Amino acid sequence: MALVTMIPRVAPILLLSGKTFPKPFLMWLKYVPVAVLSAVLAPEIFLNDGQMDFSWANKGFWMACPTFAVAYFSQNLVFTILFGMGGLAFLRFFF
Amino acid sequence: MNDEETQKTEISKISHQAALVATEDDETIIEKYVLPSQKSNPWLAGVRYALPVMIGFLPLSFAFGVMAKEAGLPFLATFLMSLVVFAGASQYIAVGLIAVSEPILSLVFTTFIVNLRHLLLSTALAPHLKSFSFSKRLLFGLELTDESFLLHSTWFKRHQAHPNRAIGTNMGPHLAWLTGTLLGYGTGSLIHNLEFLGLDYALPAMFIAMVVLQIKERSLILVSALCGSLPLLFYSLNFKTGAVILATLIGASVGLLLEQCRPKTTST
Repeated sequence: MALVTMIPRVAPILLLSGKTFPKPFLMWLKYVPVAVLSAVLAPEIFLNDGQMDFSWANKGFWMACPTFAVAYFSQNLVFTILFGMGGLAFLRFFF
Repeated sequence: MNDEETQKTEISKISHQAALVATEDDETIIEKYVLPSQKSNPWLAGVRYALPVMIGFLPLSFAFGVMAKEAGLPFLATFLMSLVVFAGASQYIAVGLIAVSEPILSLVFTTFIVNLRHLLLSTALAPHLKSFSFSKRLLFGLELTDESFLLHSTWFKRHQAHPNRAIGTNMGPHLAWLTGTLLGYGTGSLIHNLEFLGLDYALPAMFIAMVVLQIKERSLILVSALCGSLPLLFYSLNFKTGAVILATLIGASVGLLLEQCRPKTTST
């Protein structure tokens, strides 16, 4: 398990550091951060037990909306995390 | 393993400095080594830069510690997993699979697929690491995460990469991850319901914040929306194992195509 997490992390750095890349590839790499994050995030918030779920049972989805707004306006990582966690705990406790 | 590496680099650093120090008088020593390190130790500056991520990692690893304890994982296995695997989602999956005694091979395979995306992250950072020695590249790579990757990619846009600083930015979150794991495992059976505190939402909330903070251009909104929808489509087609990495490859390529086709007026 350790090996399969270590190899993808380390191999490109060890093999590719110091090499120069064609410009289009570098431009392509610029899109990787947002792409990876979005691809990991979407299933987290839209799926509930492997199904698309927009019902009230999927509180994580409903909490995501205000969390996005808070992230946009505060531009603050820690504040957004605390808001999301606190908000979800609140929703679960009272509804 | 990471600790060994750290120690080695620490030792070589110290002996290197000692050799330098021996040839200089006291005043230069104070000026050159003591004062700057007090003002701005690059490693510490790196850790400080990663502080938001560290705060986010505490509840995540805490949750992992609690889950591991609940599932009856031995302490050493739990700690080692956080030390050498150091991958949020995979560790949660692992605890779940171990709890239902799934064969170890399917666990390894799942972990491998989930973490293949690190190939992309690592590749994206590689061009910036020219000045790093082999052991520092190794140490840097081993502690790389999605979250610290974002910090690096933001930092490298404006600054030259500094080995110790970059390593600090990776190591801080790893230390937070270990601390949280220990605390969670220690608290263990006292907390039965993780949902109560919203601990399970630390990861989605962190990702929401990071997506929003990354989006500085219109084309990125489109890429983000596309990369968000594709995995959902793949999941509904029951194609799960490579969903994230395939969505990333497609999304980034579409982003590049858009940039190439568009007249260069608003590019940064």
